[in-house]
Amino acid sequence: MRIVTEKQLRHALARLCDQFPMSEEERTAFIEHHIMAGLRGNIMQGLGNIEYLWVRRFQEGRVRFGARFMTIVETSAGIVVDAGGMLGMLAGKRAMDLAVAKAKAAGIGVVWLRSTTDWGAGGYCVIQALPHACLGYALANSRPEVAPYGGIDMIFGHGNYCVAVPTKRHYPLLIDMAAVDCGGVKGQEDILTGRGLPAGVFIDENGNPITDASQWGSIGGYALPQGGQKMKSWKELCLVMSIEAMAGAMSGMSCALDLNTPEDPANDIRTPKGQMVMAINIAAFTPVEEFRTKIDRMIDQTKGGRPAPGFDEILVPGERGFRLAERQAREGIAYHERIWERAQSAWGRAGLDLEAIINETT
Amino acid sequence: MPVFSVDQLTKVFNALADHFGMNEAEKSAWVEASLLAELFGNLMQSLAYFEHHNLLRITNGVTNLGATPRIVKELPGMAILDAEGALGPLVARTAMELACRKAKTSGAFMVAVRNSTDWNMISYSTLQAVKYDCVGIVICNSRPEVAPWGGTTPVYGMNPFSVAIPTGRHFPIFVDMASSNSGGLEAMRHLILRDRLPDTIQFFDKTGRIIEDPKAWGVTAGWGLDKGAQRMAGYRDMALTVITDSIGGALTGMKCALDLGVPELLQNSPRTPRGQMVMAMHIDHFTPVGEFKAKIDRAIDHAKASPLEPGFSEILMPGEREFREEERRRRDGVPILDKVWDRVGKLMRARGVDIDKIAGPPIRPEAVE
Repeated sequence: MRIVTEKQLRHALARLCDQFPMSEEERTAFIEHHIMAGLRGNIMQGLGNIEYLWVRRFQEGRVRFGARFMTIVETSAGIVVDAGGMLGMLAGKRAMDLAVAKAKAAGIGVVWLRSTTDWGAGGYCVIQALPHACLGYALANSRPEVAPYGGIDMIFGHGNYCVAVPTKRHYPLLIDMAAVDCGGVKGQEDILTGRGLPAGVFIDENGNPITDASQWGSIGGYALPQGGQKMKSWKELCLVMSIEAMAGAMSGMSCALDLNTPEDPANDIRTPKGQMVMAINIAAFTPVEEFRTKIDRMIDQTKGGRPAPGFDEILVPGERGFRLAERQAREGIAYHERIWERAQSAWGRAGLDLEAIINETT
Repeated sequence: MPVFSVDQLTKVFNALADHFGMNEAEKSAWVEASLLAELFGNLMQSLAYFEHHNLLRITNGVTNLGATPRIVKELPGMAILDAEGALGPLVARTAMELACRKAKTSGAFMVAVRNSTDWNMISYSTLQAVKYDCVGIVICNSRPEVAPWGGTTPVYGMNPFSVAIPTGRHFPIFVDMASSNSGGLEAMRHLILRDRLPDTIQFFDKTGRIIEDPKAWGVTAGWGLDKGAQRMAGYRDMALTVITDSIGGALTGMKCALDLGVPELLQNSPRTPRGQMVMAMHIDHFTPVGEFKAKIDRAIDHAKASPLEPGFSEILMPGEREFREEERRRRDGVPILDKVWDRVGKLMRARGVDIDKIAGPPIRPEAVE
């Protein structure tokens, strides 16, 4: 394991940002997103994928720095915005700011985003609602990597589902998960770090199960001709179809297999995914303190029950990540060697020596 | 298992509504919702649960017949609707119609419902949205019957949520499911039919031991805080359940989790302080509705064209099984379990209503599979 302090990671990210023409707002969103992902242990939405998701996209022009929101249509409670290729995590943050502003006047605010890049950890978007005493909600569809329940062709994306709920005494409730229980980014991390493939999830192009991690990338992989993941239950199909409709079709973007387009930066063509971001102004519905107290009480009741065999305690959504973040902020952020190698490669692609940068500070 | 025509069942539902003194609005919502549940094959959301969901609640005053839901607060994007104990299906329809009408102006509209009785099949509400070319969403919390992931004692309800999405060529997409994959109504159905419980459904008895034999249900375990709990299938169930409780319960101004554990079915008992959140998004405000429907149709086409996994004969979309069943039952009749028909018949005969006479002889004595 490679351990780095939050300060070292922040410094390294800032040096990476220096290599690209980012505004202050873009830098802040990029750094804060990756600090959050690192502290909470979201490896594949942090350093584990930083080269593929970001450095490469920056260099290939697939992220447009300095992009502005363009309003397509607006009502009192909803708005469709073209993000013009804006850096994904900044687009998510701005969309939530916009949703909160609408929610303060209308009770709810819904923002549909077109033409964004990947937003990394969707949790970064929804937690922006919390300081405003709003409940944050976000959905995103994504490139086809998952077969419908009962099928073997890759038709749907993982379907990102995120919610943040304010509390009083407890950590906020925070959900950032795929609609399908097919391993998703955690599965990628397991493969990279040698923990192996989760059972019953990955299939090759003919629908045969892949159980040997070494086969991944040779006969399988995250791309349509090479296989992908399967759903474990019909309920996953229900969630995925809902997200395709609300994030993909409602935003005016595309759904399912129609997201399987090669990104072409030269012609400004991105994956036609869509995102829906919603803020609910709690005070419009019920006194905020009462709301927070009820959520706290629900958490108390949950944690007060008897643990089942095999469990030490009962955790509520987001709690494990917040606890890990506190510990890693204190003791340093731990990265598996393979993940650290990928991070070094990312900084190297940008012409930087990650180890040397890390050693510039403590 | 007698099979009745839609006309016969409609007559029976209308007679029951008249017997309880429902007004025209209540009657139309209740009959429509009850019939739809039978047509969809949702055994536990119509006659099979008539005694608990309807008869007891109406006769003990939990359901306040004659009450009209009223708006107590409104902003451009939301309203709070106090149902004042009105009949669940009427509230379900009223809330979604309100959300859809308002969404035609504001684009998106949310209605927080307080003080309603149980809605039975919540997709009755979301399906109203399809008529308005809206996406409809309903989120509810419910009485504690499910243990949190990693726990053994009941804290949460099944917490259903429903989504309805308009389409062009295909059946509308509709989702109507419990937040937790704990079996819920499906388990109750197996228990009534005395089937073996599927391996995926597990219950804890009151000592935290897993029971798998449906015969043990009602003896060492059962529906109620003092008797046991359903087991969640994973941490993801926990995530969905907590969110439905937060939105359906706390955000509506009602209660959450164990605070819903009040005895509702006793004489003069308080109403379960559950809440329902209803949302409509008017598609045409944000993207041309024809394009929207074409995109959903295309996603369905893609999914259904996939080669099949072994053990599957086709790929079904959410709601498709129910709509097909509705078509079949409208054509071939609606089978009702003997024990369900007999129980409702006995309960109503004691109240002077003969449902056998009202329905007339079944169109077939036995269902043909």
